Amino acid sequence: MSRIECAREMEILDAIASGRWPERADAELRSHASSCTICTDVALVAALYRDDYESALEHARMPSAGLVWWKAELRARREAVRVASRPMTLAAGIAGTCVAVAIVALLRGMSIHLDMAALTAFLLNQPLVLWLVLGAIVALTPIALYFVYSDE
Amino acid sequence: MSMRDITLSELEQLRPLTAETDDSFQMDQDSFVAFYERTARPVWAYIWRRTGDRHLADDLLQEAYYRFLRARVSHESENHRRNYLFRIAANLVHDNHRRQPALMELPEEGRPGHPMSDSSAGMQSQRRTDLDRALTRLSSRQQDALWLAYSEGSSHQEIAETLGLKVGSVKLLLFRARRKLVKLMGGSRREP
Repeated sequence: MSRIECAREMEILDAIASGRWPERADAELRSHASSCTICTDVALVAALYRDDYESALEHARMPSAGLVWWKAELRARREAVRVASRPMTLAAGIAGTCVAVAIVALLRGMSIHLDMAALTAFLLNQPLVLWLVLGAIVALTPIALYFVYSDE
Repeated sequence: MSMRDITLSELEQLRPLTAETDDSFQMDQDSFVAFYERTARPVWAYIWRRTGDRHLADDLLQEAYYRFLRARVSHESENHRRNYLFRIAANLVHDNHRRQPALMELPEEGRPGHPMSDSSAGMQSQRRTDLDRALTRLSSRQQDALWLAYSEGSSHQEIAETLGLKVGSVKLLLFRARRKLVKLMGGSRREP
Protein backbone atom coordinates (compact mmCIF):
# COMPACT_ATOMS: atom_id res chain seq x y z
CA MET A 1 0.00 0.00 0.00
CA SER A 2 1.39 3.39 -0.96
CA ARG A 3 2.04 6.13 1.59
CA ILE A 4 -0.73 8.65 2.12
CA GLU A 5 1.03 10.95 4.57
CA CYS A 6 4.50 12.22 5.38
CA ALA A 7 5.88 13.04 8.81
CA ARG A 8 7.15 16.40 7.55
CA GLU A 9 3.84 17.75 6.24
CA MET A 10 3.34 19.86 9.34
CA GLU A 11 6.72 21.53 8.94
CA ILE A 12 5.78 22.60 5.43
CA LEU A 13 2.38 23.83 6.57
CA ASP A 14 4.00 25.83 9.37
CA ALA A 15 6.45 27.38 6.90
CA ILE A 16 3.59 28.37 4.57
CA ALA A 17 1.46 29.74 7.42
CA SER A 18 4.33 31.87 8.68
CA GLY A 19 5.18 33.14 5.18
CA ARG A 20 8.64 31.48 5.12
CA TRP A 21 7.82 29.14 2.24
CA PRO A 22 9.66 28.66 -0.04
CA GLU A 23 12.42 31.30 -0.04
CA ARG A 24 13.08 31.59 3.69
CA ALA A 25 12.35 27.98 4.55
CA ASP A 26 15.03 25.62 5.74
CA ALA A 27 17.08 24.37 2.76
CA GLU A 28 16.90 20.79 4.02
CA LEU A 29 13.10 20.99 4.18
CA ARG A 30 12.94 22.34 0.63
CA SER A 31 15.20 19.57 -0.51
CA HIS A 32 12.94 17.01 1.15
CA ALA A 33 9.82 18.57 -0.39
CA SER A 34 11.29 18.39 -3.87
CA SER A 35 11.88 14.66 -3.52
CA CYS A 36 8.69 13.73 -1.65
CA THR A 37 5.52 13.53 -3.74
CA ILE A 38 3.27 13.98 -0.74
CA CYS A 39 5.08 17.08 0.50
CA THR A 40 5.17 18.53 -3.02
CA ASP A 41 1.41 18.18 -3.23
CA VAL A 42 0.93 19.55 0.28
CA ALA A 43 3.08 22.60 -0.50
CA LEU A 44 1.30 23.36 -3.76
CA VAL A 45 -2.23 22.88 -2.44
CA ALA A 46 -1.61 24.62 0.89
CA ALA A 47 -0.07 27.66 -0.84
CA LEU A 48 -3.05 27.88 -3.22
CA TYR A 49 -5.53 27.65 -0.39
CA ARG A 50 -3.62 30.10 1.77
CA ASP A 51 -3.78 32.81 -0.93
CA ASP A 52 -7.43 32.08 -1.61
CA TYR A 53 -8.29 32.15 2.10
CA GLU A 54 -6.56 35.44 2.76
CA SER A 55 -8.33 37.01 -0.20
CA ALA A 56 -11.71 35.64 0.96
CA LEU A 57 -11.18 36.95 4.51
CA GLU A 58 -10.16 40.32 3.16
CA HIS A 59 -13.39 40.62 1.16
CA ALA A 60 -15.67 39.14 3.82
CA ARG A 61 -18.54 41.48 4.72
CA MET A 62 -20.69 39.66 7.23
CA PRO A 63 -23.79 40.98 8.98
CA SER A 64 -23.21 42.31 12.50
CA ALA A 65 -23.49 40.03 15.51
CA GLY A 66 -26.40 42.11 16.81
CA LEU A 67 -28.40 41.65 13.62
CA VAL A 68 -27.79 37.90 13.54
CA TRP A 69 -28.81 37.61 17.20
CA TRP A 70 -31.94 39.73 16.69
CA LYS A 71 -33.08 37.65 13.67
CA ALA A 72 -32.44 34.46 15.61
CA GLU A 73 -34.54 35.78 18.49
CA LEU A 74 -37.44 36.69 16.21
CA ARG A 75 -37.40 33.29 14.63
CA ALA A 76 -37.20 31.52 17.97
CA ARG A 77 -40.22 33.48 19.20
CA ARG A 78 -42.24 32.68 16.09
CA GLU A 79 -41.42 29.01 16.43
CA ALA A 80 -42.34 29.08 20.12
CA VAL A 81 -45.73 30.65 19.30
CA ARG A 82 -46.34 28.09 16.58
CA VAL A 83 -45.49 25.19 18.86
CA ALA A 84 -47.59 26.61 21.73
CA SER A 85 -50.65 27.12 19.54
CA ARG A 86 -50.48 23.66 17.97
CA PRO A 87 -52.57 21.92 20.69
CA MET A 88 -55.11 24.75 20.59
CA THR A 89 -55.45 24.47 16.82
CA LEU A 90 -55.78 20.69 17.13
CA ALA A 91 -58.44 21.01 19.84
CA ALA A 92 -60.38 23.54 17.78
CA GLY A 93 -60.23 21.20 14.77
CA ILE A 94 -61.45 18.22 16.78
CA ALA A 95 -64.25 20.29 18.38
CA GLY A 96 -65.36 21.58 14.98
CA THR A 97 -65.41 18.07 13.55
CA CYS A 98 -67.43 16.78 16.54
CA VAL A 99 -69.99 19.56 16.18
CA ALA A 100 -70.34 18.92 12.45
CA VAL A 101 -70.77 15.16 13.00
CA ALA A 102 -73.30 15.77 15.79
CA ILE A 103 -75.35 18.13 13.63
CA VAL A 104 -75.38 15.69 10.71
CA ALA A 105 -76.35 12.81 13.02
CA LEU A 106 -79.07 14.89 14.68
CA LEU A 107 -80.53 15.97 11.36
CA ARG A 108 -80.51 12.40 10.06
CA GLY A 109 -82.13 11.12 13.27
CA MET A 110 -84.75 13.81 13.14
CA SER A 111 -85.55 13.16 9.49
CA ILE A 112 -86.09 9.45 10.27
CA HIS A 113 -87.95 9.60 13.57
CA LEU A 114 -89.67 12.94 13.61
CA ASP A 115 -92.43 14.46 11.70
CA MET A 116 -90.71 17.40 9.99
CA ALA A 117 -93.90 19.45 9.78
CA ALA A 118 -94.48 19.04 13.53
CA LEU A 119 -90.83 19.95 14.24
CA THR A 120 -91.01 23.10 12.14
CA ALA A 121 -94.18 24.12 13.94
CA PHE A 122 -92.49 23.41 17.30
CA LEU A 123 -89.48 25.59 16.48
CA LEU A 124 -91.61 28.46 15.21
CA ASN A 125 -93.54 28.44 18.45
CA GLN A 126 -90.41 28.96 20.60
CA PRO A 127 -90.05 32.29 22.40
CA LEU A 128 -88.14 35.15 20.80
CA VAL A 129 -85.44 34.97 23.51
CA LEU A 130 -84.28 31.57 22.26
CA TRP A 131 -83.83 32.90 18.74
CA LEU A 132 -81.94 35.94 20.03
CA VAL A 133 -79.55 33.75 22.00
CA LEU A 134 -78.90 31.51 18.99
CA GLY A 135 -78.39 34.56 16.77
CA ALA A 136 -75.92 36.07 19.25
CA ILE A 137 -73.91 32.82 19.34
CA VAL A 138 -73.75 32.67 15.55
CA ALA A 139 -72.70 36.35 15.33
CA LEU A 140 -70.16 36.34 18.17
CA THR A 141 -68.40 33.05 17.44
CA PRO A 142 -66.31 34.41 14.51
CA ILE A 143 -65.37 37.48 16.56
CA ALA A 144 -64.28 35.32 19.49
CA LEU A 145 -62.24 33.09 17.19
CA TYR A 146 -60.58 36.17 15.70
CA PHE A 147 -59.40 37.35 19.12
CA VAL A 148 -58.18 33.89 20.06
CA TYR A 149 -56.04 33.49 16.95
CA SER A 150 -55.08 37.13 16.21
CA ASP A 151 -51.85 36.85 18.27
CA GLU A 152 -50.45 34.36 15.81
CA MET B 1 -41.97 51.40 7.96
CA SER B 2 -43.72 54.19 9.91
CA MET B 3 -44.93 53.68 13.47
CA ARG B 4 -48.51 53.69 12.22
CA ASP B 5 -47.77 50.64 10.08
CA ILE B 6 -46.56 48.53 12.99
CA THR B 7 -49.18 46.19 14.37
CA LEU B 8 -49.44 45.12 17.98
CA SER B 9 -48.08 41.65 17.29
CA GLU B 10 -45.06 43.13 15.50
CA LEU B 11 -44.37 45.39 18.47
CA GLU B 12 -44.52 42.33 20.67
CA GLN B 13 -41.90 40.72 18.46
CA LEU B 14 -39.65 43.79 18.64
CA ARG B 15 -39.61 44.06 22.41
CA PRO B 16 -36.36 43.01 24.06
CA LEU B 17 -36.07 39.31 24.57
CA THR B 18 -36.62 37.78 27.90
CA ALA B 19 -35.60 34.61 29.63
CA GLU B 20 -38.00 32.83 27.29
CA THR B 21 -35.58 33.15 24.35
CA ASP B 22 -32.45 32.82 26.43
CA ASP B 23 -33.78 29.45 27.55
CA SER B 24 -34.14 28.31 23.98
CA PHE B 25 -30.57 29.32 23.04
CA GLN B 26 -27.45 27.62 24.27
CA MET B 27 -25.69 30.91 25.16
CA ASP B 28 -26.62 34.45 26.19
CA GLN B 29 -26.22 37.48 23.94
CA ASP B 30 -22.86 38.62 25.29
CA SER B 31 -21.31 35.19 24.88
CA PHE B 32 -22.81 34.93 21.41
CA VAL B 33 -21.39 38.28 20.28
CA ALA B 34 -17.91 37.27 21.46
CA PHE B 35 -18.18 33.86 19.78
CA TYR B 36 -19.52 35.42 16.57
CA GLU B 37 -16.67 37.92 16.42
CA ARG B 38 -14.20 35.04 16.63
CA THR B 39 -15.86 32.73 14.12
CA ALA B 40 -18.11 34.59 11.66
CA ARG B 41 -15.41 35.72 9.25
CA PRO B 42 -13.92 32.26 8.55
CA VAL B 43 -17.36 30.63 8.44
CA TRP B 44 -18.64 33.24 6.00
CA ALA B 45 -15.50 32.86 3.86
CA TYR B 46 -15.99 29.08 3.81
CA ILE B 47 -19.63 29.33 2.77
CA TRP B 48 -18.89 31.99 0.19
CA ARG B 49 -16.06 30.03 -1.45
CA ARG B 50 -18.16 26.85 -1.46
CA THR B 51 -21.29 28.48 -2.90
CA GLY B 52 -19.85 31.38 -4.88
CA ASP B 53 -22.75 33.61 -3.85
CA ARG B 54 -22.46 36.44 -1.31
CA HIS B 55 -26.17 36.72 -0.58
CA LEU B 56 -26.51 32.99 -0.14
CA ALA B 57 -23.46 33.10 2.15
CA ASP B 58 -25.23 35.71 4.31
CA ASP B 59 -28.40 33.58 4.47
CA LEU B 60 -26.58 30.35 5.26
CA LEU B 61 -24.45 32.12 7.87
CA GLN B 62 -27.64 33.27 9.62
CA GLU B 63 -29.09 29.77 9.41
CA ALA B 64 -25.88 28.20 10.71
CA TYR B 65 -25.79 30.41 13.78
CA TYR B 66 -29.50 29.91 14.41
CA ARG B 67 -29.12 26.12 14.36
CA PHE B 68 -26.03 26.43 16.49
CA LEU B 69 -27.86 28.52 19.09
CA ARG B 70 -30.83 26.15 19.18
CA ALA B 71 -28.71 23.01 19.43
CA ARG B 72 -28.78 21.33 22.81
CA VAL B 73 -25.16 20.27 22.73
CA SER B 74 -22.56 20.67 25.44
CA HIS B 75 -19.13 21.65 24.16
CA GLU B 76 -15.93 20.52 25.82
CA SER B 77 -13.85 23.38 24.47
CA GLU B 78 -13.83 26.40 22.19
CA ASN B 79 -12.38 24.23 19.42
CA HIS B 80 -15.18 21.73 19.80
CA ARG B 81 -17.74 24.54 19.62
CA ARG B 82 -16.10 25.96 16.53
CA ASN B 83 -15.93 22.55 14.84
CA TYR B 84 -19.59 22.04 15.59
CA LEU B 85 -20.43 25.34 13.92
CA PHE B 86 -18.39 24.37 10.85
CA ARG B 87 -20.20 21.04 10.78
CA ILE B 88 -23.55 22.83 10.61
CA ALA B 89 -22.23 25.16 7.90
CA ALA B 90 -20.87 22.21 5.89
CA ASN B 91 -24.22 20.43 6.09
CA LEU B 92 -26.03 23.56 4.94
CA VAL B 93 -23.67 23.90 1.99
CA HIS B 94 -24.23 20.24 1.05
CA ASP B 95 -27.99 20.63 1.31
CA ASN B 96 -27.80 23.68 -0.89
CA HIS B 97 -25.72 21.87 -3.51
CA ARG B 98 -28.20 19.01 -3.52
CA ARG B 99 -31.04 21.44 -4.16
CA GLN B 100 -29.20 23.67 -6.63
CA PRO B 101 -26.25 21.74 -8.05
CA ALA B 102 -25.88 24.04 -11.05
CA LEU B 103 -25.61 27.24 -9.06
CA MET B 104 -21.93 26.90 -8.12
CA GLU B 105 -20.53 29.98 -9.76
CA LEU B 106 -17.84 32.61 -9.49
CA PRO B 107 -18.58 36.01 -7.97
CA GLU B 108 -19.85 38.52 -10.50
CA GLU B 109 -17.28 40.37 -12.58
CA GLY B 110 -16.31 43.61 -10.92
CA ARG B 111 -17.22 42.23 -7.49
CA PRO B 112 -14.60 41.42 -4.88
CA GLY B 113 -13.34 37.91 -5.25
CA HIS B 114 -13.83 37.67 -8.99
CA PRO B 115 -10.49 36.74 -10.54
CA MET B 116 -10.46 39.69 -12.91
CA SER B 117 -11.37 42.12 -10.12
CA ASP B 118 -8.35 41.38 -7.98
CA SER B 119 -5.84 44.14 -7.64
CA SER B 120 -3.00 41.73 -8.28
CA ALA B 121 -4.43 40.53 -11.57
CA GLY B 122 -2.43 38.32 -13.88
CA MET B 123 -0.80 35.36 -12.21
CA GLN B 124 -2.90 35.37 -9.06
CA SER B 125 -6.13 35.76 -11.03
CA GLN B 126 -5.16 32.95 -13.34
CA ARG B 127 -4.37 30.71 -10.37
CA ARG B 128 -7.71 31.54 -8.80
CA THR B 129 -9.54 30.74 -12.04
CA ASP B 130 -7.63 27.47 -12.37
CA LEU B 131 -8.41 26.61 -8.76
CA ASP B 132 -12.12 27.40 -9.16
CA ARG B 133 -12.32 25.24 -12.26
CA ALA B 134 -10.44 22.39 -10.64
CA LEU B 135 -12.53 22.47 -7.49
CA THR B 136 -15.70 21.87 -9.46
CA ARG B 137 -14.23 18.44 -10.34
CA LEU B 138 -13.71 17.50 -6.71
CA SER B 139 -16.40 16.01 -4.52
CA SER B 140 -18.08 18.13 -1.89
CA ARG B 141 -16.34 16.18 0.90
CA GLN B 142 -12.95 16.60 -0.76
CA GLN B 143 -13.48 20.36 -1.05
CA ASP B 144 -14.51 20.57 2.59
CA ALA B 145 -11.52 18.59 3.77
CA LEU B 146 -9.06 20.67 1.74
CA TRP B 147 -10.60 23.92 2.94
CA LEU B 148 -10.50 22.89 6.58
CA ALA B 149 -6.96 21.53 6.35
CA TYR B 150 -5.28 24.24 4.33
CA SER B 151 -7.41 27.35 4.86
CA GLU B 152 -8.51 26.83 8.45
CA GLY B 153 -5.39 24.91 9.47
CA SER B 154 -7.53 22.26 11.17
CA SER B 155 -5.90 19.05 12.36
CA HIS B 156 -6.98 15.65 11.06
CA GLN B 157 -8.86 15.09 14.33
CA GLU B 158 -10.73 18.39 13.97
CA ILE B 159 -11.61 17.68 10.34
CA ALA B 160 -12.87 14.26 11.38
CA GLU B 161 -15.13 15.85 14.03
CA THR B 162 -16.42 18.45 11.60
CA LEU B 163 -17.16 16.08 8.75
CA GLY B 164 -18.27 13.17 10.91
CA LEU B 165 -15.52 10.86 9.63
CA LYS B 166 -12.76 8.75 11.16
CA VAL B 167 -9.25 10.20 11.29
CA GLY B 168 -7.96 7.50 8.94
CA SER B 169 -10.65 8.35 6.43
CA VAL B 170 -9.72 12.02 6.61
CA LYS B 171 -6.08 11.24 5.81
CA LEU B 172 -7.08 9.19 2.79
CA LEU B 173 -9.63 11.79 1.71
CA LEU B 174 -7.00 14.54 1.89
CA PHE B 175 -4.41 12.47 0.07
CA ARG B 176 -6.77 11.72 -2.80
CA ALA B 177 -8.12 15.27 -2.92
CA ARG B 178 -4.61 16.75 -3.06
CA ARG B 179 -3.50 14.34 -5.78
CA LYS B 180 -6.55 15.07 -7.88
CA LEU B 181 -6.28 18.82 -7.42
CA VAL B 182 -2.59 18.87 -8.32
CA LYS B 183 -3.29 16.86 -11.48
CA LEU B 184 -6.16 19.14 -12.42
CA MET B 185 -4.00 22.21 -11.81
CA GLY B 186 -1.28 20.79 -14.06
CA GLY B 187 0.79 18.55 -11.85
CA SER B 188 4.09 19.41 -13.48
CA ARG B 189 4.06 22.76 -11.67
CA ARG B 190 6.23 21.65 -8.77
CA GLU B 191 7.50 23.92 -6.08
CA PRO B 192 10.85 23.37 -4.36
